[in-house]
Amino acid sequence: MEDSLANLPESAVSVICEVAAIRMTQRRCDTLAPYALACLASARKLVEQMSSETYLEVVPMTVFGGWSQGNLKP
Amino acid sequence: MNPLLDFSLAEVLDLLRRKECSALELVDACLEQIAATDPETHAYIRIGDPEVLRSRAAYADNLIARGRPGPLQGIPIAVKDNIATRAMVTTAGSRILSHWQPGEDAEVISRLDAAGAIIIGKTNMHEFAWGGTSENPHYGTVRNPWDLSRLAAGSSGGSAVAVATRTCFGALGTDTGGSVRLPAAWNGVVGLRPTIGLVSNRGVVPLAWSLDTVGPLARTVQDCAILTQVVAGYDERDPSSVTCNVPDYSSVLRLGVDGLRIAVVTDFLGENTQATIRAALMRAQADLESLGAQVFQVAIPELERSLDAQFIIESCESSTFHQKWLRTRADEYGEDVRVLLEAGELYLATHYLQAQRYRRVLRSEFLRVLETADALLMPTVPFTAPTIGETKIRLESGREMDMLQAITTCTAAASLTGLPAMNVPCGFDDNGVPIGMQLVGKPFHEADLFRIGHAYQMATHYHIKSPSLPASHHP
Repeated sequence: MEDSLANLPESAVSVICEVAAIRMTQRRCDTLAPYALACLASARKLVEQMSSETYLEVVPMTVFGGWSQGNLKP
Repeated sequence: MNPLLDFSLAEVLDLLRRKECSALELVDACLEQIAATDPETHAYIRIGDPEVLRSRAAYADNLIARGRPGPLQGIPIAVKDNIATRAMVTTAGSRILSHWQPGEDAEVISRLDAAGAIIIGKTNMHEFAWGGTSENPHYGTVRNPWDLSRLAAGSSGGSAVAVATRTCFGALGTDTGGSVRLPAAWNGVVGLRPTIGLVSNRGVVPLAWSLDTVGPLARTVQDCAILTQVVAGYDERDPSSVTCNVPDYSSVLRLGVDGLRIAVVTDFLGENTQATIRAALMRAQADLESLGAQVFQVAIPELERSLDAQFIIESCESSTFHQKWLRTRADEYGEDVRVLLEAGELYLATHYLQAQRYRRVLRSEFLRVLETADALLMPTVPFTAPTIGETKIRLESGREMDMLQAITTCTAAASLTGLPAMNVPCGFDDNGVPIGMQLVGKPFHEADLFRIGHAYQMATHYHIKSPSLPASHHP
């Protein structure tokens, strides 16, 4: 996945920005693209871990809650 | 420099009550010190109107004379500029909010006001708190007073420098991924990230709402405890606020550390951490042991992905808050913050949700370790302050990292888990710039951190040393 991200044409970032309605100049896109691709590569690592069988079994499919939820009351 | 400014907040409270100084003298001394140091440090965005400040000081002196002072009556306090103040424009370090005059004080400001504190000024910060260096394109780069060529860290850089340079007796900052603890470490002051929900966020310009909290900075742990006492407690108008009893923090300080169990987290003492910082942590460990604490080592394997999760959550939530401005006023952001906000738009929803699930895993791990320990000990930052302008850092191991990621290596875990964490100064490197250690505690057990930190400061001298900046002339 990291390889494919590294090979992703940086213009793809400008397409995504267009979809998200973020106005992009070429200069801005050039600045954003390498940083964004690095972010997405690190997100991929987290997803790989959290979608493994171990975590699917032990971590509930709920968003992180405050102290009043679950068994985490102080 | 006026010698009054060398007293701690606790000491000056005592002087005021014994009428050995006045609030008016304190305000004038702070204003003189700001005038002398701020042109070098850029710690403040805005200073209070001197006449208004003096009139508040006169009112405080009157209440003290009548024997009815509040717990911070007459004490000059600085506040990060993302905390709403009716009396002063609140910019959040941005051009976008450069003229925002809030209609209401933030809850923490109301509490400071009720306690009698005098808000001396609003401090400089990383724009919208989205960054770790306090290099601000709109209000100037906050400079480290121990070496003006170095970074002060952030995002609450101005608050930490304001305290370190003796321009106030305490300050408020905000901490999302480390923004109170990081500048506290690099500027040699104490900074607390309270348990999430202990201190109200109402009236604070958000960065990432599931991680944000207000936190105090001060010269000593005792001063930090006094400030926390004033701002902590349930706020029914803040949905993230938690109903809990706030103990009398000052009364536990004298209990010392005898019998307390402190676990040193070895994951942060590896080859990526500077040797001088590892040595300082080892000295602190020995000092705490000699004071009676039981110190042992632990490893927390789940830490490995904490930075990934921190950045996903911080990015997605901040980009959500800024969504409209990013589309309508993008040119008004500094380039570094704009890029971070744009990148936050590109994560998938599944990235965000998996990161939130990861927080449960990490919190469970920390709570498991904290069943056997009263506090965890680790560095606050794995390297001391680099020079201004550096965007990458080469770690001790030779690995090169983006500055924002590198600086939050040791602070992200407490942010993700919502646990209380405090920086305490524990040494200086060969260049004379400060080193900080981080204590992480059980939820709502800030008192344990204060006990440990206070006992450590009673036995060491790192918090007494001050940077040698040009100081205000005092006859």
